[in-house]
Amino acid sequence: MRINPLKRGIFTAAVCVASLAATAAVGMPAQAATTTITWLADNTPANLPIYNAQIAAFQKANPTIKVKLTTRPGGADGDNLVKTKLATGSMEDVFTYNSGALLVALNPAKTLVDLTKEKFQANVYDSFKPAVAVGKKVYGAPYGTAMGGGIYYNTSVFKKAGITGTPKTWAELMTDAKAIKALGIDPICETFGDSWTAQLLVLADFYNVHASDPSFVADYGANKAKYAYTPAALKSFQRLEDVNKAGYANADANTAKFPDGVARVSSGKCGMYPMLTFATSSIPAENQQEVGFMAQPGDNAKNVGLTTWMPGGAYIPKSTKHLDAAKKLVAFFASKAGTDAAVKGGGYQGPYVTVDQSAAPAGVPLATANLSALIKAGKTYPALEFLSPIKGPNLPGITVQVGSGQVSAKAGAALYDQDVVAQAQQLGLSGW
Amino acid sequence: MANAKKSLAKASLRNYPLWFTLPLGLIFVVLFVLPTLTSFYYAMQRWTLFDTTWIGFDNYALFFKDPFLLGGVVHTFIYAFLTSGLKVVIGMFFGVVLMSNIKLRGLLRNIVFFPVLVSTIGVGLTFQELLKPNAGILDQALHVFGIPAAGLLGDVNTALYAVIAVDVWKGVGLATVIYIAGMAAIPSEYYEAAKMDGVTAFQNFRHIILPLLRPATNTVIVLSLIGGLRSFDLIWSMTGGGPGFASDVLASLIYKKYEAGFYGLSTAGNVIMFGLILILIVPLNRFLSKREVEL
Repeated sequence: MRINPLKRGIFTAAVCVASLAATAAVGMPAQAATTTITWLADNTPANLPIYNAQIAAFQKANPTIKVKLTTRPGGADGDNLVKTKLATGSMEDVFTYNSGALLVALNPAKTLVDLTKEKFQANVYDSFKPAVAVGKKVYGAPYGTAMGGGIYYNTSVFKKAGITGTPKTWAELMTDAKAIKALGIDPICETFGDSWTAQLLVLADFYNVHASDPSFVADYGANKAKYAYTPAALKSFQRLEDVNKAGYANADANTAKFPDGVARVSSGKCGMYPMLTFATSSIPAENQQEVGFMAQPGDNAKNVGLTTWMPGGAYIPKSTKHLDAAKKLVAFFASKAGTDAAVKGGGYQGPYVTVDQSAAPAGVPLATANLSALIKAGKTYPALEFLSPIKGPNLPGITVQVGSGQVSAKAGAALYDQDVVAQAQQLGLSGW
Repeated sequence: MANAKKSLAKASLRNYPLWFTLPLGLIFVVLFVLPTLTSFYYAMQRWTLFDTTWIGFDNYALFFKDPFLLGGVVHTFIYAFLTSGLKVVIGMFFGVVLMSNIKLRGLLRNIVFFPVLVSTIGVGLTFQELLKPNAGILDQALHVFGIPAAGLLGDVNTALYAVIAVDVWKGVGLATVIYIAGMAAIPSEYYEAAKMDGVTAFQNFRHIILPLLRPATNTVIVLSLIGGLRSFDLIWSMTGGGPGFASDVLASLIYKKYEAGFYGLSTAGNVIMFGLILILIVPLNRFLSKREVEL
């Protein structure tokens, strides 16, 4: 991920605000000695108001603790930074980072503080805990909201094309795409210029894979099932090929980027955009009631469900010198006060995984309401990366190849199987 | 005579005591030799930054099994030889033109050299915008020539060549300066003698400038070939190796392995690239310097 000047500007501003707050505190009447702890978080611009609101609320509740925010890039650059900081013992007192497969790569048993017995865990859904656990030890608190992987769609475009409701099968979706194309609008936006976005049609199809082949997860982890030779899993790659063959993607798919995708589905320049629901916060305010979100349909109209992504986690490195204060901050993130502050700072972005979570206020964006309804309906299944540490690093490139017609779905799936073997060997997993 | 010259050169070298090289030598050892040696060690490890496990040559085996390696190597060679060749031809042309008595010579020299000074990542991102399909100025202008609808960077067949063109644009200034310096070193007696014989401008170029520029040409070839073989920043900022793997070169494939957290594997890749460049450049350098003409 590249750091653009705007982000850097926002970051500098945030640091200024934080340090202003710190100086203001100095002027206050003498009180118990304050501890300053540091927090490393990712630098997504839309998240900065959330961080600031949470820090303000936490400091108000804990007047003796000051929190200093540092931001890091997301994506692979961020992964390497986090690993380097942990390996050299220079990690901040608290850091927020992905859960699931990426957490396992941090070697938690060696680098992170065990939070299994902390009181706040009683407030965390049990369904979340495996995403931040290795073995029986839980190393994190949930940070942020649950997300869904699926397809954003523009309701005005759907209406113009005469589409009622949302497609219940992939075949229906392709028919709807045809109707949208007849209007002269790109039916499906693809943004391979940010190659990670190309993975969505494959990753978000996992509910359907699991529904038609429940043994795939276990067999895949045991090096028995392969994408290329499991019909249900191969279909995920087939989706990319279908869109390309039918010519339903935008002409500049190979160079368009994530912000283009969000902007185009918001403005109605394209009908649909496969993406994770964290993109909702990037939809312009005037389009928030116009852009809906649906689960990626499979082949069974009677079983349409959502592939879900767990929230990230908040972790404490073993190298911290302020363990008690750090634990307080992590517990705060998993409390109602913490989620309330997040909603106040950045709006309601989806359901939390805590028991006493903040309720959705009225007037949330349509896509968020759709997401909440899908999760409430209960037909959900976690993305593969939360069930298995095995995720080939070349999936973005391979999905671009399939999505742009360079290789067939079958060949792409076979390439990915090979990529996965390389990753499992590098992780030192047995049986590969 | 050659012997006399050699011993003269040796004597002049000895004028400087060896410890003069100590400060730079120390930096070279600490920042180059030591990391190079440790990389041979880490290439044999499964290395997660937190711990290492000895796995012998498994990393090398895995690296050679990479399905995208062959494409990456082919792209690397296309990239290196094409940029190197173009820099020689265009650089020499600019050099000759900018040595002649034309108007605004100083300004033109600056314009040709300017891109060399700009940050490569900056150049990459700028051209990404300029070539944006249906939006970038350059893309719009190129439509006259019927470029693909996906844009130069978005089309699998043109992406690599678009990056090559930008690399040449950015790097040709350095080649030009080397040629200008090379030409300035040619004694004017040659031209005067040729003038007496009544040679044409072309003969002048073909039989005086071209042979006497050979040291400059060799420098340009070797420098741009090494640069091309290990090129990474421009490709990464313009295409990220894409679309798919269509413009991936060795260095970007290795970086992707580093990104994925395969530190041992990417180190093995770097050792292989180090060897490959060595195998190519050392004989080439020897071959080229044999053909140099002494002034």
